[in-house]
Formats: sequence, C-alpha cells, structure tokens
Amino acid sequence: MSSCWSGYQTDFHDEMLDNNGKPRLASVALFNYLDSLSSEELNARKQAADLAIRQMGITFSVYSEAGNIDREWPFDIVPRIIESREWDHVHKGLEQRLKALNHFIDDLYHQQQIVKDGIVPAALFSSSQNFRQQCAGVKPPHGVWAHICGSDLVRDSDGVLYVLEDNLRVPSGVSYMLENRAVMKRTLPEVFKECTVLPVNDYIQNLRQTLCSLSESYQPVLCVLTPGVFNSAYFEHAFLAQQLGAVLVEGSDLVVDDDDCVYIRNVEGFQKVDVIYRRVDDEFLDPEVFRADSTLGARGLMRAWKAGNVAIANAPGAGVADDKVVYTYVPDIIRYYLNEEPVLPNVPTWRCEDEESREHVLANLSSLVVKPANESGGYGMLVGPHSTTEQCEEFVTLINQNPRNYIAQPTLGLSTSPTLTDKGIVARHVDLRPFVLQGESVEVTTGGLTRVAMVEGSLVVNSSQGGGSKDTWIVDTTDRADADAMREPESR
Amino acid sequence: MLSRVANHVYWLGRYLERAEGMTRTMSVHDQMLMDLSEFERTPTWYQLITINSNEQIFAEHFDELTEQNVLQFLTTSLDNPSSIASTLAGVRYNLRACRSIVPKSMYELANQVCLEAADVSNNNVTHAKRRSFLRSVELQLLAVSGAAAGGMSRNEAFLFMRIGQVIERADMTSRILDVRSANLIRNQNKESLTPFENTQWVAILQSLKAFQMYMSETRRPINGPDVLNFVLKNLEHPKSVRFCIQRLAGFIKRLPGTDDLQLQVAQLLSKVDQADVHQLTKDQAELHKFMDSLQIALAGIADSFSTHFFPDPEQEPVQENEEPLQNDQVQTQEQK
Repeated sequence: MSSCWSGYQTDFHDEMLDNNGKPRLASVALFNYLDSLSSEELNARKQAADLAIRQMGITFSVYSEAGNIDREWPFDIVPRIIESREWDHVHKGLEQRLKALNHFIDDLYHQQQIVKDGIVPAALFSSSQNFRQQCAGVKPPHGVWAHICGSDLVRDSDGVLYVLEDNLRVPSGVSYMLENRAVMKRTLPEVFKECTVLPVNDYIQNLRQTLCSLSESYQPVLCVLTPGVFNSAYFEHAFLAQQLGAVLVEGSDLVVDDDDCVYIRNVEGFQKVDVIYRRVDDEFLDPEVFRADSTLGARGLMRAWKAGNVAIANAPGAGVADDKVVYTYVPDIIRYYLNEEPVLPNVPTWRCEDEESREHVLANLSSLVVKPANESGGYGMLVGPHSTTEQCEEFVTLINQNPRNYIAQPTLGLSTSPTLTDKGIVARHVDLRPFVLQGESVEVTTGGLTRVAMVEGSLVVNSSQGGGSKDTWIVDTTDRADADAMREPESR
Repeated sequence: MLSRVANHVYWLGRYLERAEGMTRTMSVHDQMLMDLSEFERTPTWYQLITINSNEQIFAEHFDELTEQNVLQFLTTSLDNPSSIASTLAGVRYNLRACRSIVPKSMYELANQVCLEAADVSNNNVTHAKRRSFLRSVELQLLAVSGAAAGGMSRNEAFLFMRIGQVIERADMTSRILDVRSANLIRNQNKESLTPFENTQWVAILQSLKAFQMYMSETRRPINGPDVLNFVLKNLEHPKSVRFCIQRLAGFIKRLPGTDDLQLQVAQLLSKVDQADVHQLTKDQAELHKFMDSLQIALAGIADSFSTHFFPDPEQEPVQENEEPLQNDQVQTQEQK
C-alpha cells in the first residue's frame, strides 16, 4: 500500500512536517493515523464530511449578479495542528494586543494623549474612514470598545507567527470554527482518542459572559443584530443567537422610545434590550446619525447607547483601530499603554503616506503585497509576484492618488498544511483567525479558524474567493514531552 | 418572541403540516389506485388537484390531463403552491428565518428532508421510486415533529407553530372529506357498499392516517355517516376537525388580547358540533356547502390571528418574497 505521504512536498514551512519530512511532535498521532487509511477510505471520509455539512446546513452566501447563492461551507478533513506551548505564547500576545487596542480607541475618543505624546500622528485618525466624531466622549462599560476581535495570523518561512491584521468591526468566522470541530468529530472520531485535542466550545460561554458583563442587569436581554437572511454570514448570526440564547433581530425589530431605551417588538408587547451584539457596520447602525438611507439599523440607537441604556458590541467607532495604517503602529501602541514589549510581531509594513516608504513601494511593486487600508475580504489587493504589468501600473496610479489608503508588505512565504485534494494529500497555504473577547476580562479562543487556499500555490484564503477551512487543533504535548524527557533516565 | 419571527414559525407549522398532508395523501392515493380496477377508476390523480382547489393553475401550465402531468404538478412543480416541492420550499424558507429559535436537531432533520426532496425533484422518478420517496419524506417529516415535540420548550414559539399546524390540519381534513366523498354519496341508499366504495371510504380514513383508530373505536362496518362523524367530530383523534379546533381554542386562550379570536373559534366549534352527519352524507351538495363554510370560517380565523399578531400580516412569508436586497449595503457588512 502506498503511503498517503509519499508524494508530499513543500518549499515552505509546513505545519505538520519538519524540514526532514518527519511529523512534528504534536502531529505524530495524526500523521500515522492518516497513513493507516487507504486513499478510498480518505475520500469516503471527505464525502462523509461534505454530507454532514450539507445536512447541518452550514452555509455561507456569495453575492452574485443573479442574486445570493447559498454555498456549503468548504471544509478540509485534515486538521491543522498547533502545539499547546506555542499557543500559550500566542494567547498572551493576542490578549496583550486587544487590551492595548482598547486603550488606544478609548484614548482617541477622549484625551488623545497618545497623539499629544507624539507616538502616533493626529492625521492617523483624522484621515481614517472609521473614526466617528459622534463617539467622542462616550464611556462604554470597562472602557472597552472592541469586545470581539478576529486577528489574522500567518506563519512565514522563518517559522514565526506574525499578526497580519486585526479585525475589529464585525469579524466573522467563529461559528465555522465551532462547526468545523463538530464535523471533525463526525468524520474522524477515532483520532481524537490518540491526540490530546483541547476543546473549543468554551467560546460560547465566554462570549455570553463578555456580553453580559456589559450590562448591570442580572439577566440581561441579549440580541444579535443581523442585516437579514440574505447576508453572507446569516448562518453565523443565526448560529450565534441560537447558541447564546440571544434574540436574532433585524433593524426593523428594534424601536428606540422617547426614554432613549431600545425595545424589541414581541408578540406580547415591547421588551427592553440590554446588549446588542451587532453584525451591521457602523455606517448603517442609526439613520439618525450615520447613513440616512440605512434600513439595517434602528433610528435612535446611538442616543440610547450614549445614554448608557444599551450596550453595543463592538461599540460604534471601534473600527478606527481596524485600519491597516493603525496596524503599523500597534507595537508602539502596546509599548505606550501597557509598558510591555509586544509578544507577537507585526509583518514588516511600509506606509505609502511616508514619502520614503512610498518610493520604496513603487520601485518594488512586483515583489510586494499592496493592500488598501480599509478593505476586507481580500478585495482591492495587489499581490505583486502574481500580477501583470498592467495591474502594477494601475496600483502606481492608485497609490499616488491616495497614499494614505495604502500599505505594502513583503510577499510572505505563508506556511503550508497537508490538505486533501483530488491529487491526494498535498501542501496548501494556510492562515489562522483566532477570536479574542474583552469585556470585564479577556478571553482567547483555543486555536481559531484555519483558512486554506485550495488552489495550488495560491495565497488567497477567503471563502468568498475559493478558500477552504480546517479544524484547528491545539494539542497538549506536555505529557509526551515529559515522557520523552523521562525516557533517558529510565534507561540508565 | 419577536412578532416577525412568530410569523415565520407559524408558517413553518403550516407548511410542515401541509407537506406532511400532501405526501400522506399521495401515498394513500397511490395505493388506492392500485386497488381499483381499470374500469372503475373514477378517482384519478386529478382528484388530488381538486383537493387543494388548484384546477385552474393546472390548466394554465398543462394542456393534457395525463397521469405524468398530474404527478409532476403534484410533486415537483413550483407552479403548484400545494406541490410537495412548493410546500417544502415553504418549510425551508421559514425555517431559515427561525433557525435561531428551533432546536438544532429539528433544523437538521427539516433541512435534510428539503435537500433530499430537491434532489429527487431533479430526476424523473419511476413508480417504485416515487413510492419510496413519498414514504421517506413522510417519515422524515414525522421525525421533524418528534424533534420539535421532544426538544422544544412549550413556549410561545412552540405555541405559534402548533397553531399553524392545527389550522392547516383542520383545513386539510375538511378538503379531503369534501373531495373524497364526492362520488360516494350517490350510492348511499344501497344495503351494503361495493368493494370499491368501501375502498374509497377507507381511503378517506387512510388519507388522515385514521383508519386503525377508527376501526378499534367504531367496531362497525365501514359506512358514510360513521366515517364522517369520526373525521369531523371525534374528540380524541388528532386529525379530526373537532380535535384540531378544540386544540386551536386552547392555544389561543393562552395568548393575550385574543377575546374576539376566542369567540370566532368557539363559533366554529359549535358549528362542527351541530353538524348532522346523517343529513350531510345523504346530499353531496349540502356536504360540499358545509365543508366550504368550514374552510371559510377557518380562513377567517387565520386572517384575524395574523392581523392581531404579525406586523405585516398581508405578507405571507413564502419563497416568492426572497429577493436579494437591491443596495450594496449588505455587501460591505462583513469581513470574511
């Protein structure tokens, strides 16, 4: 029987195998288990996973000209493994990062001390699309603005995990992290016994705890505010509401009364809402304050929030720190507010607004990745090495027109992870989106959502653009490492 | 529970019941046609179109009254609002909107039957396959009811779903009675029923899955007045009209501000109680008139109920309303 690993090769840092093609400590059991399955068996498991996803109705919607299409969530059955000791380190770094970012946002909407102290330029937020003057002076509970953060991590060829970006507006994906585990348990139940995989399902309790901590009510009424059933992430909104025991509401279900409190229209009359986990962008939250044509929010929501009668997560205006130019200052922000060295490194980044950096970027476009400061979903990017001369020229114009809106980073040698395709198990590039919560305390998911670029050589992991996903295992290797350490003295 | 979601969960109940009723009725009809000899085959598949008063829609879409056309219209056609495909599309649409309040197992089971039906709809099914398909859908829908009954708190959501179910079921029972009895009553004066007539009275009971319970309770030869009495007035069988309306009365009493509705339901209840089954089984026209008035009264109750509880009652949440939002607002919402 030929091994499923015999043809496996990668030119990058691999999540499962070391440079000699041997499985890393945490991956040994999985490596051997997969090796014991025939390719027919592997494909049968893959089909079983696809069927489970269909039956469980795990979907995401894609916008197209013909309307919205519900697609089954793309899932790869080979998990991505991270050792628990490395994760402890990442965990600390993510906690540190969100704490610092929340200090930063709170400062920006109050004293702006960090600007006065010359750490960041005033232009940084005055030119930011996501800075909301209307939020100035508001004091949200615990001084926390970004309660739910999805940071994207990537591992470069040097084996180091870097923070690629922090998503502080309405990051999505956590439901898929949870459902991936559920599907995994159905698909490869035997393997969990062999590996010490840490559970992920405490996220829901932590999220509930975080949201409840934003209200003084003993039993706060929680809502998840969705743009509606046609939104690309409606599955996630419904999933989270169901899991949290929250009411899934649309803008039209909410009413802000003269008492500046928010109510939902129930069968038995109106009920006061304490906490809104909104999955609607700032701009659409309240036609009274932001976009007047929005039907996705509720008139008066900002009044109620400013009066402290309702908590909104993430708070309006939190997105100011979700800007790729702000990102470049995060290490300084951490040092400034926490007086600590950053635990997790940023990817080296050039700000196109600095003249010197801009010249460097324009001269080296073909080797860089250029990103707009505020886009998400992988849109509006230039991946230099994979681009035509015309595309590069287009970006020269774009950058010169609006340098503030662009940053550039080196093209990373994103790590690979074994992935089951039509050609058997092959190496594909992956990233990782852990989710961090901050209310009264800070919590980090055990792992996160691993996204995988299913096309050979591709670095685009977004599900809207053909990316897939994997279950992410944080594997506790302490026992095994101890056992290894013990072995020698025993054999003396 | 949100009024908007209450509307969806109410219609979920109605569509689940309608789908179950349709598959069950088709299954029974299929078996019945096999029992009836060629020359006696007065009831055809077309009868099932008349049960739901969809004759006109059929005529608009098909020129010929062939078995294949009728079957296609009943199972896979989305033009027929009562077809299995349409009712399950209604289930799926409403299920999606109340996904966060129904048990996960119920969602998964209902989702599964909708997917399976959509797959089958794409193939031209043979007779044997059709039978196993109908059976499978019917059993899966029963499992959905089981998941709801076993997993849902008896809260408002459950109440609204049950209200939808009993209204739909009472309506379905009255329709089946109306149409199925049409060509039976002529022969009532004879001493005993011919085997074929017998088959058709049995089919009424079977369409309602009430045959077994009827037999054990009535202990008399099958006859028109007894069957009508059982299906219309029985206090214990869940498919009887009386049972459904009694339940409806109980459910509505638990909801606030429903005095007028309660009165409406009470009137319907006494109408059923006062019906004279001997008289009605003698005269087809009278039976038809009675069933018609019953359906109108039910529709009136359903209307008052919707107007009372739902923000936008005229808008029955069905598949047709599903249109993507026109603006680009939603597109920028999420970070994927």
